[in-house]
Amino acid sequence: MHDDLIRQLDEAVTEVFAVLLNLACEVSQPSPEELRSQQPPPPALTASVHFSGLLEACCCLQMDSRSATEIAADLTGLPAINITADLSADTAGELCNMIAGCWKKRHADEGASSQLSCPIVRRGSCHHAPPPFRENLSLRYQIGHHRMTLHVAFN
Amino acid sequence: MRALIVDDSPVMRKVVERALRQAGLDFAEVLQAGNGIEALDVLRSNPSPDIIVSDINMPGMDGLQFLEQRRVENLAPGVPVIMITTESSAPLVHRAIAAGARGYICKPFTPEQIRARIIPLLVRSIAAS
Repeated sequence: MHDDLIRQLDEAVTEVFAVLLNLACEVSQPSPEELRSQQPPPPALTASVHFSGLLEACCCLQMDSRSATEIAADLTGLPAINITADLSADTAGELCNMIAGCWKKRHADEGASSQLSCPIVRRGSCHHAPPPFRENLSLRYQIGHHRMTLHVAFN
Repeated sequence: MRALIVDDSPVMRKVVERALRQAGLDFAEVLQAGNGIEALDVLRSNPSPDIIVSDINMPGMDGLQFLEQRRVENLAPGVPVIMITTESSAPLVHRAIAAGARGYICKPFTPEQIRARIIPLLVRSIAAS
């Protein structure tokens, strides 16, 4: 079951970045330093979207502010210097929202009977899946030169 | 020409505006609103746009409620509305069409998809007016 889920999430992330920015997505391995410390670098932005209905899940995207700023600049055509902290945070939220939407549409029946929340973005690495979720997955991606982590909690 | 873009995400409003302009459409003004309530205010206080592009999932008043209230108040009647949203389930698409949407684009989208959906609607709308 987890293999299918991981494949669907990989496909969802790949679709979002390929369509929006023509960027390839690779599953990322932790650096040797991170493996030694067992601590990934702290992300500056954490965006989350909750599912309600037949799909009970939470999708959470963590990325650093610099990546969010650069992606926002690429998406909007604005110079990076004009991308405010709020626009960077908004970009992380929209990316999480689109990944969640692309994942949802891969669940034909449950997806049709489920709704997505508006994204919530927090500055910092605070990722707290609500207690009722039984399963958790964390996947790391390299998209262009950007690195990000996707956490999915579900029942 | 004038467009109204309704989305709670400022980045997505910019992305849609950029796609509209990249399509070679000469918009003199692109009005923006962060949810359905703001969009209704824009329609009440401005000349009618030629096209409305709206998200569905927004806080305050969502895109479907906006369409329904727009119809109740008879605001910008005949102006085509395209929904752009991550929600792609068939029931939601049907609800949007029933509420008056003339097209539906799923996020993520390319500028070409925007162009392919919006230009025919604009041409028909302008010809009809």
